[in-house]
Amino acid sequence: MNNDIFDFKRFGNYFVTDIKNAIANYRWSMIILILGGLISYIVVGLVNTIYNYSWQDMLNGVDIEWVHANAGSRVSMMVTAFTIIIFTAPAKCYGGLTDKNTGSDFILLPASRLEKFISMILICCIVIPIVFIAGHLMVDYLICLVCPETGNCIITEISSKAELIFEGADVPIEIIDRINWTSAIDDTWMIFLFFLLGALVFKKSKAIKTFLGGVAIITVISFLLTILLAPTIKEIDSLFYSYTAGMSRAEIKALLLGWFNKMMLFDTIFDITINALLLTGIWFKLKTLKH
Amino acid sequence: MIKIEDLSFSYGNYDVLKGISFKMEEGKIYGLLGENGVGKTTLLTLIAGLKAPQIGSILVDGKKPYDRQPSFLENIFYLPDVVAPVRYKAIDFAKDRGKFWSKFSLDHFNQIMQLLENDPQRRMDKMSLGQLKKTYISFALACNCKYLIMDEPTNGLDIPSKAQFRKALTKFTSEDSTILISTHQVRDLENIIDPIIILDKQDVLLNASIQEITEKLYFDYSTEVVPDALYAEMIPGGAIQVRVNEEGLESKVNIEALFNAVHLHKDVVKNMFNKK
Repeated sequence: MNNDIFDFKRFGNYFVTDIKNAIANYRWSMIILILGGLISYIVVGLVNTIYNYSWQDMLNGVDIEWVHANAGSRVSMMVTAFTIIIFTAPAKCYGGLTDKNTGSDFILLPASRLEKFISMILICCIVIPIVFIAGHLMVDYLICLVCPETGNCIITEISSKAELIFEGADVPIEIIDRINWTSAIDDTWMIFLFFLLGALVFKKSKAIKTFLGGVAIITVISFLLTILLAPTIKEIDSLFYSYTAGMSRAEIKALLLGWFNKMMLFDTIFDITINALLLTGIWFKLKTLKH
Repeated sequence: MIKIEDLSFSYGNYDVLKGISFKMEEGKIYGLLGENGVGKTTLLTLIAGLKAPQIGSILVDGKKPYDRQPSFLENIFYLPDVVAPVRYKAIDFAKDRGKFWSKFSLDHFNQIMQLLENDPQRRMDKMSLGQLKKTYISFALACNCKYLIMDEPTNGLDIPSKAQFRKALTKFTSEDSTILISTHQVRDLENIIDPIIILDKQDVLLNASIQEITEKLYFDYSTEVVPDALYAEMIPGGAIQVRVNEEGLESKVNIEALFNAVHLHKDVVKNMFNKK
């Protein structure tokens, strides 16, 4: 490949520099969010403990036992912390590109646009999520190791994902088997890329403006879809019953699974299309960055 | 060689550069002078590739800067007026960034830092403005680029550092390097810059070597004021006057006086220097 387009050695150097920048810009936020597991363990445990005992019990000197935060509350904390990472990491790591000094430094560093682009995407979509998830799970594992009463750690719960997520829900096992975890990953990437694009487009209040922009887009799309699909949705039950009239239960199940597969395919195509559009937007923004 | 042809650039409806054309040859230290707002920084950023020309072209060794190819970028270093206080120790910054410029010398960086009495172990975001500027100057010179573009490099430097900067500039740049320095502090660089480019609103008033300037203009430091002088200013102990050098006399250029003379007699000077 042309040396001006991509060079492995130069890319390696650039990636290391980019990682160092990301560490310099985001390390404290990342550490706090990783330790969120521990913070939530303490806070939830404290709240649970206070909730379990009355003031009278405490005044009477009843032996108070610590009520441990269960895996569910710790998973909630992890999801919340991860959401904060998605919203803030791109702006913290790459928001400086819209600043004259930092942006000029970025543009004039002798690496190709492709190398800078790949490095940026790798850091946002791979490195940051992996570091957070690995760090958070490790903290959670250590909590469970030190306090065995707290029960299973999150990683053990996740390994029995179907039970964790679909417990109590009447979902056929065939559908659970068909749920593709890559769909969740590319959905996450989509949000990361959206916030990365926002970090390159907006000059100030990047995360908030991007969030509000996202809400506005979703509202407009939902509104349009509601107008378009409202008549169909109103009659969906009668349509379904007339369509499946005379079908056996097995045939209906097969039909539903077929529809579900099509939905999954549509979801995959939709995610790929949106991600491709977002990547194009980021590429174009890098190409036209001026200071 | 840097070749600028019919270059125009505007911010919205405000034209900054209009139909500018000139060339810069290798191995020279160009001084770019001009009043505030005439587009000096814009021109520098266009040459560095930070902006795209709207009309006309800039070619640096046949390459368009705005393409920002790595082979172009590693031959050029642009030092802006205001530099970023990054969260690195100066030495780590130099080691990390230096990898991208093939001719970068860490040894030179340390030598220049020492010359400018700056501590390479100090974190850049804890440095004063002058120390930060000196770190970037050290890095810029240590990159040993063919093209070095500096916007007000002596701003924020203390008096001893200005002298050390001049020393470093002549010692640590190779003979085939082209250096373009934009400055208002002409006295800081008076004995270094040659040729001189004077930019005016939407025009290049002068692009000439010191020799060409002294061939055509005479810098008169006598006490007797001459009425036909292009520019005259009383200074302690006499006067400085810029006159047309009709007798072929030798003199030492006073850049401030030159600048003022050019601005007072734009067309006269332009015609004088455009004549072949």
